[in-house]
Amino acid sequence: MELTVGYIDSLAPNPAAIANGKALVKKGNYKELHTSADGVLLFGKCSSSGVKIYSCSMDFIDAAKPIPRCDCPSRQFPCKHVMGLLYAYVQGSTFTESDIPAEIVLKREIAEKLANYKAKKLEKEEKKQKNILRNKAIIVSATKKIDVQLEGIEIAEKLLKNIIKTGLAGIDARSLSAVKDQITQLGNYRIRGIQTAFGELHMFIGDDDPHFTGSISQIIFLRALLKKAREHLTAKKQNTEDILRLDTTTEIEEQIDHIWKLEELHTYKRYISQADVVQLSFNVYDDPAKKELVDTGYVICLQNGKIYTTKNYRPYKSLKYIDQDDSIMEPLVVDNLYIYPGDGNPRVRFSKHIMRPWTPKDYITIKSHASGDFAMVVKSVKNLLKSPLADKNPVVLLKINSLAVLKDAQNQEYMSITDTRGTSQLLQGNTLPVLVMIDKALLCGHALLVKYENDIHTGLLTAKPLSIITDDRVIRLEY
Amino acid sequence: MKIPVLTDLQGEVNRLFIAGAKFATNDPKIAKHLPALTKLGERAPAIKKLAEMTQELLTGNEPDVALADLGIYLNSILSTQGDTTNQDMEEIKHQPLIKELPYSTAPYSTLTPIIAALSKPGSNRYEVIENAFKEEQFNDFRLYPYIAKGLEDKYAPLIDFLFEKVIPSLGSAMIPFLLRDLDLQGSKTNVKRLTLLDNLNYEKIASLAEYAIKAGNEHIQLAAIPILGKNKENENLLLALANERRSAIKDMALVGLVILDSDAGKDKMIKLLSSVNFKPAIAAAAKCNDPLYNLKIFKIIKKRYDELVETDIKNIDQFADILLALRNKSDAYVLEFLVEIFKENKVKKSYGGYLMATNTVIRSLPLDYSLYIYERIAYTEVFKENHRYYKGYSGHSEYASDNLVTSYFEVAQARYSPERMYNVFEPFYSTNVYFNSLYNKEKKDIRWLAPFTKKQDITGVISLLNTEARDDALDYLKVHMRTKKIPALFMRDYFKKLSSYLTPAEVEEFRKEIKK
Repeated sequence: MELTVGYIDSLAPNPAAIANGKALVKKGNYKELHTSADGVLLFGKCSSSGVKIYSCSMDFIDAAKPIPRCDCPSRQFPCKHVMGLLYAYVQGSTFTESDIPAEIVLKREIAEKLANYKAKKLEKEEKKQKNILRNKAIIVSATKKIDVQLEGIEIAEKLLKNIIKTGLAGIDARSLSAVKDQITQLGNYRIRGIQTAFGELHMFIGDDDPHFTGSISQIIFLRALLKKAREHLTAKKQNTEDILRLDTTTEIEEQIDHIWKLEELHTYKRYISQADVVQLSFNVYDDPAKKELVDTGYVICLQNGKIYTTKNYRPYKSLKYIDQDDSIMEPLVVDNLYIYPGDGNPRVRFSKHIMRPWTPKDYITIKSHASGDFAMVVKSVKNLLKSPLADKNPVVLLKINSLAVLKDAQNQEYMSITDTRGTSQLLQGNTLPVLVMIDKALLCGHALLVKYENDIHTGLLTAKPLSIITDDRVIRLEY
Repeated sequence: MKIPVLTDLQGEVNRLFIAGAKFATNDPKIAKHLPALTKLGERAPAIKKLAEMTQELLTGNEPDVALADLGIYLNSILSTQGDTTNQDMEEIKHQPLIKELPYSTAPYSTLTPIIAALSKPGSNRYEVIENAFKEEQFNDFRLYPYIAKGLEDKYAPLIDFLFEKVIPSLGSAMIPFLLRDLDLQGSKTNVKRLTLLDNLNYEKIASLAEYAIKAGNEHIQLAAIPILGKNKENENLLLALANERRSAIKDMALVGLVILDSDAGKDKMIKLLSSVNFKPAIAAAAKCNDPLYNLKIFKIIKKRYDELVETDIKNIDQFADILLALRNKSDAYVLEFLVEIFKENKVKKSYGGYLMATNTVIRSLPLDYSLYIYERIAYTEVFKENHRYYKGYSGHSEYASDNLVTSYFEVAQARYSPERMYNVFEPFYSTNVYFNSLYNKEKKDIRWLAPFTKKQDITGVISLLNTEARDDALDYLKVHMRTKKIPALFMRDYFKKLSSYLTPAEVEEFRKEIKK
């Protein structure tokens, strides 16, 4: 079995697990290191800081979804003992062949039963979906839900109107508290997405920004959302055949209330099987309004050249229990790449995947998907930005023909890249200071992953560089 | 393409969002844009719709709804107006400084703790940086801006680590980042930046240093002078600076002239050293390696010393300052003079600062010369008494922080056998002189066990666990740690030290035994 340090790092629930796992190997805490006869199970015994010795293992019986096991009390999976076991393996420690422990045999049997149960459940769910229109009770319940949602939207509209009428400057601490109470009440109407958007507005109003820039943008977003949500739900209610059908053309379902399940995306055939996926950029963003951290990755599907977004939401209060995503440096072969509804860079999710080594063809494929016609790109970006509900920062791959460094009246440095037709695109952002120092040879003729940003005040549509894709590597400017 | 009336209208719409839609009806500031919009609308349907919506805001029944809808529509139009170029910007020459991109594939989880340690306050930062350096994780251009900014940190040891270890290890790739952050009028951090640029052989360092003399503040000027001292063409500039009133500038200009090997500069230094206000010449004199001028320096100091011993012993602290001019001089007459000082009983006991200065001069010499002097003075009265006074002078920045005995220990351990180290230094240890590096030394004479146990020096006993005295040391430790009341904090520290010599299982066994 071939393991790489990069792959093991990618399994870590947090950076500390990497360091702690390596430290265990360095200190020589592993008393026994074994592998099964078929080589798909690694297991061993690791002494703790106390007197206990833990039995840990990593089961690669399903290479796309390896299972870590350990009898330590940690809630992290894999824990540091399993991480250390894997590092010991790649560092060349001696693993002797041994029989698979009885408890692992038992756990494997249970896992197999569970997988069968899930498959049957999925099958049942699909059948249920097919027959659902015949079930009157379900239709009645769905109609009731829409009624409740429309009632909630009406209350939300009144709340928004009041805010607009009063004016943002007129909302003092007392009325802000009243607004908060009303937002809490929206929770009774099954419009979680709308409630969250109001929560963001509440946070923006509470900020000290004298220009209320965030608040105004959020009011505009909310007005558009409420309008579209009302239209969508009214249309749905009027057509009994569509009442249970989820809209997969836009994000409206999610923006109102819905949380997509992989099974649903499967049912609506929103997936690509055996997708070849490469992560091109990664970062973690803080969302104080939603009180969560969002691990965000931009991945390209080599089959269709589209750039998708991966998102892992980690609420502050559950940070301990949810694994953090990380940069993935190698290409992945994904069993099913599930695609959420939406424009621009729709969100994707996947559960089963295996990491594979880079091939020279991968870089050529990625570069071939970069656009050499900036005018066309800008046209589609502007089309997206026109919609108040769309993502304001689309990510695209551009092919650089030539470049120039510019400065404004304040001596601030910018870079401008140009395509073969002579159309230029201004770059800016926190990654630019490094980019301007890089030799042209590493940039011209190569692809650049950028994130667009439109500043209405300056009238500039600029792009923030995220990664450079050359003929033999992906150079990440962020993570 | 920016259409002024649209951006102006947006400003007014935003004003109403802040003030409240209740003021929208017939608002004059909104109304004044209506004619322009109507005119533009004749050719563009989108603007025509905008004009209608503006009219609705001014005269409609639901100004709140009209304001929100106008906001949506206006934003949509403005989103399509963004320019991807800016004609007001000026193109500058692209001078890429990174030819070979130092790039790793370190993931977010590896980079962010390092970035946080370099840019945010918090505990454990130094360890994170030190560990990243050991693991060679700094060789990634994504970290360079943070490393350069890290020089502005508030925690001095971290700055020193970046300055002394991290940045020099990264080499010339750091130059663009140091240049970008360099502020000639800024804080003392910029002195470090300028020095690093010099150490990293920045090709335009000479002209930068010249500019720093003209445009920099005093700290920067001081740092620029030794850089100028590398180029003969700067002699006149340095001679002019040596006449400055500010003593720090004068001091550094003389150093620059000495580095430049300027005869005029060295004459100036000698003249100044002979005067009453000799202090600005000391650093330059210490840098001088011209034998002829070294003899002149020595004669000045010797003359002062003779006067001191004969008539003026109360001025001994002032003499301590001028003595520092003898640093880095290993001529035979200097060595003999340094030994002679210790034989003079008049300087005995009361003049700790003076002896510290002497020690600083001895430590500045090549190791074998230092050792030669220490061996000759080690049993003088002055030497034995010295460690009593050293504490009071440890804060003096120019003096070495060690006292004579510990300095002798440090120098001797590079040359002496473990047996000789024990023979020479055990008598000092028995009179309560502690040698920190003794505990770290790989090879030790096992006879140290007796004095260590006598003084209940647990760290010392633990340090013998890798010698033949291991069993005896362990027995002593078990009894001592079982029977004495040791505070938990110390106990933890001892166990941490033990784990460097024992395996985890042995530590565990040890723990069990002392609990019995």
